[in-house]
Amino acid sequence: MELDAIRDTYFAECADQLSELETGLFSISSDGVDAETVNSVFRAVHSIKGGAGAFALDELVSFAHVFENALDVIRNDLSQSNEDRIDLLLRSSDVLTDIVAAARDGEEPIDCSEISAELEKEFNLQPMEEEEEVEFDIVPISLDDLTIQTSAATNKFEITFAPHNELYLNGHDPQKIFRELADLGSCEIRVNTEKLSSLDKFDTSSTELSWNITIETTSLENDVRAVFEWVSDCCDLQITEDETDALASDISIDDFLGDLSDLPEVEEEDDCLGEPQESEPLTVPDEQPGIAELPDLSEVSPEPALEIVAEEPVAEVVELPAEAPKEEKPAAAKKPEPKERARASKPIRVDSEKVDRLINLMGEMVISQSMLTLQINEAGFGTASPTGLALVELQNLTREIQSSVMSIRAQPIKPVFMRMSRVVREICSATGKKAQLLLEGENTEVDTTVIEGLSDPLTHMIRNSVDHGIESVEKRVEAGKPETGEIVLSASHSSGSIVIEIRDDGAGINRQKVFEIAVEKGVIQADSKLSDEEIDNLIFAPGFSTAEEITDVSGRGVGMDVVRQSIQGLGGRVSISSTPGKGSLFTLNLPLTLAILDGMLVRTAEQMFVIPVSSMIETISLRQQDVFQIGDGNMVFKLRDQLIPIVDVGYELGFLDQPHSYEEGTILIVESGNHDMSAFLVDSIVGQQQVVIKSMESNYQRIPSIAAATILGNGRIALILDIEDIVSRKTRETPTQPVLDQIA
Amino acid sequence: MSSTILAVDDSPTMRQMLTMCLSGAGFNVVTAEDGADGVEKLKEHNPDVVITDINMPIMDGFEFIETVRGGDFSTRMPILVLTTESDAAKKARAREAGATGWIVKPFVPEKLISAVHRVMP
Repeated sequence: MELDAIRDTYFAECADQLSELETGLFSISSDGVDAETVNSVFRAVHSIKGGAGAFALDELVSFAHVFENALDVIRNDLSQSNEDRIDLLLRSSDVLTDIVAAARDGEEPIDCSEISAELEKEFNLQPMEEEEEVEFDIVPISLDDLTIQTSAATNKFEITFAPHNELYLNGHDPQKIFRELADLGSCEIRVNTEKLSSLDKFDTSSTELSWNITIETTSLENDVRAVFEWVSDCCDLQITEDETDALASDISIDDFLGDLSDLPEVEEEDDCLGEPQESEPLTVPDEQPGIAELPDLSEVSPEPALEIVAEEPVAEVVELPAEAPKEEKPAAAKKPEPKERARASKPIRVDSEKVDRLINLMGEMVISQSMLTLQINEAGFGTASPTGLALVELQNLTREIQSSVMSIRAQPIKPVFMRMSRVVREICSATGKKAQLLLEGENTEVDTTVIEGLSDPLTHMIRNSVDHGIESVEKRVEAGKPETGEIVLSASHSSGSIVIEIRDDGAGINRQKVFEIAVEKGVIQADSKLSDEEIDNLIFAPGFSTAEEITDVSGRGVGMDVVRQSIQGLGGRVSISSTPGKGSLFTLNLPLTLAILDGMLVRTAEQMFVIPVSSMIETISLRQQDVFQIGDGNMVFKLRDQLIPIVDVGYELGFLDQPHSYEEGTILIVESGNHDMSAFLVDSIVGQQQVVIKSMESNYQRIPSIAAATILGNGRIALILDIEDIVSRKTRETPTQPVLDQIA
Repeated sequence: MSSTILAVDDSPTMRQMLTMCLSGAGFNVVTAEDGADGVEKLKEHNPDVVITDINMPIMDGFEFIETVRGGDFSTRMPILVLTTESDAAKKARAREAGATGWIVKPFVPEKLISAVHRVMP
């Protein structure tokens, strides 16, 4: 179960890393390559790979590995970056996203062999290396001379081991090493104390102890050597197979590494490769005491050379010049990276449920505060009285807390906008058009839920803008426009809502054509008189598509009506304005948050109801002459030339036994996501206000016709009407079960 | 009292995995998100063993190890490097910085724990 939680964390992290990856690659493709961005992109893939291994997501690991290696090529040498390669990396990031999604949803792994091969080819990558692992067990032994008998030994090694000070400083303990040795076979360990100073001269920074070990084991020399793997460069180590002169295994490399620390890796390897023949053969008698005293035991150890040769294909060595800057990287990374260091505040990951609870509580607080205000005002305290002043203070604080809490859910819209750059690139290459996307206000903060819901409709709209808006290169040249079309995607705050605009400098809407198609598709009558604006907005009508043939770009079986529905689902509205020859402008109005609703408070049947302002078209006073009864007994309202079914809210929901008299009242014309209109009849309108949304499902149960509830300043509950549900029911005319019965 | 292990990794997944794996083995686990955070946590908790990633933002593993091995700290606690990178130069550099051992990701819990035992004072 705990593992499931980690899995969730992993995929949440993947989402972050993927967006980091995408953002980084875009910035490289648009602003050019820089070390810091390449590093962050590399790290993103690296982290995804790291976690994937833990969950045995092999496909993901192997693809991430190739991807990472490709990025490493650029990381090591920024001049290796070019447009084609970045394009390939962008496509790889798409594939990685898909693989992660498949892994998350437990679907069949996606076949990525093709793009893997492409990456390997483009970046001249070597096939994946086998990575070594450490493995050992522990057998407790004492530090004193000891002999542990094990099974029949076939090899006998003489080991002299003289730790340097670094060995201790690096947190090693010789005793631990002996335990591991003892595990390999029978050991005889003798400590050399000859060099040990007397206590009065004892220097804690000098290393005066050394050991001579004889081990009889079935293991090979490499296994014995492996025990010293972590300490090989901070001790004098000599391992000789008994009765042979295997002097090549002498080790003393601390001086060597000390000199080497500032040198590029290339030299290390060169030295190593060249050294074994030159290294002075040393004959150190097995029993010779004071080995620690021999710092010049050998200047250079062949051991690392052997290791390197063994580990890495020769081809790696040939490639070394390209890798040389590798050594400089960590040094550069050491310097404070202004961009990263300046970020004093660090984001924390919080369960969104906790934030929702906070927002909920904040809503409660707003309500309590307005109740208190009501009470205090009724009690006759003036605004200048101490109570009144304290109240004003409380109101200010509440407002501030409200906006702070709301801002927790808010995130810059940038990631979604960045994604659109790729959409434009893809469509341009699919259609042969030229267009560039300019972003404005991409740091505008929007509620996360809104951001999530925006991705699909925006993608569709951007596709649409390139496919239908921007003209072909020839036509643009003919019209005296620059070859490359321009699409501006902008976001801004405007009086409690977010405004997103998509502006293109394309041909604009061909109204004649739109009108003809709408008639042909039966969306409007041939004799309809429509304003330019109304014609433009026809493209949002269900089933409408202006493309003469459905292209694989924007025509994917969904039209702009789906876009409109998605936006309305987010509590927003979308509209278009267009100038023929100059371009089109789509405007999206979205709520700042889904936790608070801009509501119209209405009264009917002695109840208060809230109608979302985003669904309202207009309000009209009821006049009896505008109400008609049609054949089936239903009432309709005549708005100009249109007949709109009346929804008598109080009666419909079961709060009234008798239908409204239709003599007086107010009509609110509302529109559902699929453009069905209804005329909601209420007694009166109380006013427009922001209400905190309280879910009915989580507090009570789902009730048809009711979207949610809210608590008003006077402590009373008002139900928020589910416009979609009511309007579609009215259109279908299915009998309803009165709401009141269900609540009671 | 159980031994304390400081795990430094920028990936929340890895931090959670390490915490689960090590606390399951009876260790007290403290985590840090990058080298700089690791330095702070090290001061605060004085762990018995440190496990650190290399590739991290703000302060990478090398710098972290150098910081805790040098200057005001000069700590001798075992520091294990846990990373996906396995090339020899990186290892040499980690050793040079003062790392005690090197474990290649993805880690197998038993092996991680035995590596910890191998160096645990």
